[in-house]
Amino acid sequence: MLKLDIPPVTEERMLVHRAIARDSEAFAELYDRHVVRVYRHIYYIINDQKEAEDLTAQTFLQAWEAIGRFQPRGAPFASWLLRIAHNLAVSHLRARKGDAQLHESLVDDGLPRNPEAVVERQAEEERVRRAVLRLGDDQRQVIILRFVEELDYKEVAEILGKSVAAVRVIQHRALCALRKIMKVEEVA
Amino acid sequence: MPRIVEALADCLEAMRQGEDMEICLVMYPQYRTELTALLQIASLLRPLPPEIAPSFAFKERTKVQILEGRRGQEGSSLAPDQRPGKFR
Repeated sequence: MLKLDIPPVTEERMLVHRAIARDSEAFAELYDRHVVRVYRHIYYIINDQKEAEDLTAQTFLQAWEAIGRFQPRGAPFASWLLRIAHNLAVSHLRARKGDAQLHESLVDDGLPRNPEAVVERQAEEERVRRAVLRLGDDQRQVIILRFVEELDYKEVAEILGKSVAAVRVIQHRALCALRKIMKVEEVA
Repeated sequence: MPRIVEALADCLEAMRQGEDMEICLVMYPQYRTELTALLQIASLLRPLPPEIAPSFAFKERTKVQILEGRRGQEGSSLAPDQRPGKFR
């Protein structure tokens, strides 16, 4: 049988078009491609495995319900999904009373350190994480994909449908915005 | 002269490869103050460990919901108004 070599981006576009036409098999394939990234994005915000799973499921359910409104010529599907995930996670965080949990991943990296310095460092990391949640969609997605997911510029550019140069500019603006947010918090 | 956007990208890449921040800053003396502040913030963005991932059981369960259009709220830790709707 003839096997066509279809580029991944084109293949994804075809899946999205089929999903818009209510093809649940196509949507399930999109789910397979993006579920881990969506989960990790939510986990970064929520820091709870069970809640992150529930919100991940909810993200895909909402996406399935809204897929008819998705504009294939606009932002890529992954970026659209991550925006839904972020909005759900932040709403959930607001509903949760207080958010004093520190990230498990931030608590111990196995390095022997001065305990006071460790606590101070964890508090700083937590402040930055909270500041990240206040960034706009593009800036937040670039920061999470670059620094939390450790993707290179080309990978981030592909996911967000932007050029590498644009990703670098957004990265710079995002770090400047984080600096500003943290400065304002310090004064307050 | 590289713009600060490129200088920042270069320094972040070098630091990811294990280079010391001070060595990167020496290459861009004109941006030293701003780069220092931005690199310090970047250093506070800790990557998520790779083992943080949804469970296999969850992934399969949710996929079945997608394919079968079933409601999947059993055992949900979310409030009723935050729970998923139907796949239809």
